[in-house]
Amino acid sequence: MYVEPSLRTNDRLALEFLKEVTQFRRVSEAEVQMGDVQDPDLISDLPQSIIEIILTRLPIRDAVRTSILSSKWRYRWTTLTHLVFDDKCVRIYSDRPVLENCMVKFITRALFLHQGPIHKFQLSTSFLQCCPDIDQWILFLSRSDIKELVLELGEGEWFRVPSCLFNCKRLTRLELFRCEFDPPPSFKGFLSLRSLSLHQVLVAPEAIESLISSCPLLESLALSYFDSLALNIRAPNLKYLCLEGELTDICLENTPLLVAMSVAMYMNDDIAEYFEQSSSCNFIKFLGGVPRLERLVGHIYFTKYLSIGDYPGTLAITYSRLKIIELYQVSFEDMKEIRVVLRLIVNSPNLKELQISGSSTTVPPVEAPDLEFWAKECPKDCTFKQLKVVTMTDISGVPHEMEFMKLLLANSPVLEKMSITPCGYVIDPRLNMLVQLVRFRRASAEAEIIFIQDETLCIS
Amino acid sequence: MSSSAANPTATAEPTKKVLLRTSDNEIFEVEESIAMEFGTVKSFLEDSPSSTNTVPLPNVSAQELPSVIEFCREHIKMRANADDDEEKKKRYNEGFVKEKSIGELAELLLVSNYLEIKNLLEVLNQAVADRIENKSVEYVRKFFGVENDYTPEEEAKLRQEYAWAHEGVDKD
Repeated sequence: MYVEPSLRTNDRLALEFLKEVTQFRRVSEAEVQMGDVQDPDLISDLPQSIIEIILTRLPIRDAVRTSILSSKWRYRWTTLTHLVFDDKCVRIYSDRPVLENCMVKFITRALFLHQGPIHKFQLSTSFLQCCPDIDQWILFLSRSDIKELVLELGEGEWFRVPSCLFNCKRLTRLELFRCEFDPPPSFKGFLSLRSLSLHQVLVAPEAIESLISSCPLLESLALSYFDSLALNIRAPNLKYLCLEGELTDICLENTPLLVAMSVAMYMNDDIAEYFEQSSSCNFIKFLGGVPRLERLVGHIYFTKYLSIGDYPGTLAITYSRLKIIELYQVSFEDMKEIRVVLRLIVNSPNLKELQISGSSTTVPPVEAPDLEFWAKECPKDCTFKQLKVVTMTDISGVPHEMEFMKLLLANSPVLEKMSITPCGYVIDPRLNMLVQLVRFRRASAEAEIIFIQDETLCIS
Repeated sequence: MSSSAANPTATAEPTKKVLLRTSDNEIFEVEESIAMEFGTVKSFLEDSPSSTNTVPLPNVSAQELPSVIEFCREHIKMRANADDDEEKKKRYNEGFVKEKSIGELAELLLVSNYLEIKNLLEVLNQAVADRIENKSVEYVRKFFGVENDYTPEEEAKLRQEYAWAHEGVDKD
């Protein structure tokens, strides 16, 4: 029996009545217990703009299913401008081809039913790699005013990005994982692109360089897992830079607005050899043109990379906005690396936070450390006027590490906290470290020194 | 009839207060910083002569305003605490929506939409989405107060058409 639903669900009687009509009632016991759907009439008042945001926040599959709520809702999901497809779209089948097929079917159907512009499209799945349907989807997107595109595909054969991607004139954000990327010669750049992330992407270095320079509005750049990458970065609006991989020769040629950078360099023997022979000063090439830098994070071999090349002693660059420096795996047995660290902190008058992690070595030093170095190389009046927090980790207690901490303590009048975590297997030298630390003069009466003991190794 | 939302921590300079008048004529006094979190209030104050400090809110009743003010106040505090702890914010947001009923969430949504409070809107939208995620069609119908106006035949046909989307979901 078909029952005409009464006027508005405001009417509680009507709702009760509807509940009893068996055709439409297929709720489970648990749902009937749901006490809090007391005032449904409030929800139906939500304006379309809010409904759309809520639908956007649902997994795409749930959003699509709202088509069955009522005839008014049938096409509400089809005008969503943000589409995110991921592994949750499909039920997990153990049969791989069936799974892939399901996923392809889902996305194709959804796109086919979609109406209107699509501003954001994200495909993050490990179930698809190289698949001709993806080409078609990108073609469809290139005609839909796409602004943000994220393609994160599975391991295996890498997807080769089709040329229609380069026709997406309005792209503001592009993120690719595990793809092959080959811009056609006629490509003139993405003129609106603000954010570019390429992870494990196969692309010729010249192509990346020219891509970066042809995106005049580029503000954020992330490149990771590249083999032997050498790049000149020319990006006048670049603010955020993140590099990770085997980087051989990076030059920030034109990045005057850079605000934050994070670099992780992987070294192999070839690269190390290349460096031995290089004479150009890496410090200048990397940090010579970034006056607005506020945050610098250098992982693994970064300090070593910066130490290569002859630094013209007379050059003074001031990083007046640099507030946070984090350097990992700094070898305090390499004088050149120590000089890099000193140079950075001495030229950053507004430095607030410093985090250094040492590079613990078990090899005893070849020669006795030159402790005169500290008296000779530090400017007499170097004061870290704004330095508040210092974190030292993986400290093995080698003489230069201790001298460095001594320098910081003696010259940081507003220091609030210095925390020191010795590296794991160093046990005996800890006591020695503590003895020395206690004797260091502190410029700041407020400075707290926190020596972090691993509880299990505590010798009480 | 007025209720004052006084700032418990005393500050050196007197904080400028703004008066908000709800649809049921209750007046709420809040610090200017909180009032400025409301996009509509901010525009109103910017477009009015500087002597005005009472803002009429015809679409907001006195019931929802306290929660909204509390949310903004907490977020201002968390932001000022230069730590900017994402975890802390997340926990606060989760706690904020947890106890609220669907009706309350909807009311707050309407209010924050009207007042243009971006971060509160985001939290509420996500909360609503989370509650209906992966639920059956019937549940969502009840939730949104939607009457099903499909005939059984139409509905069956639609389900077939959309079979690709209905696989592997909570049983209806």
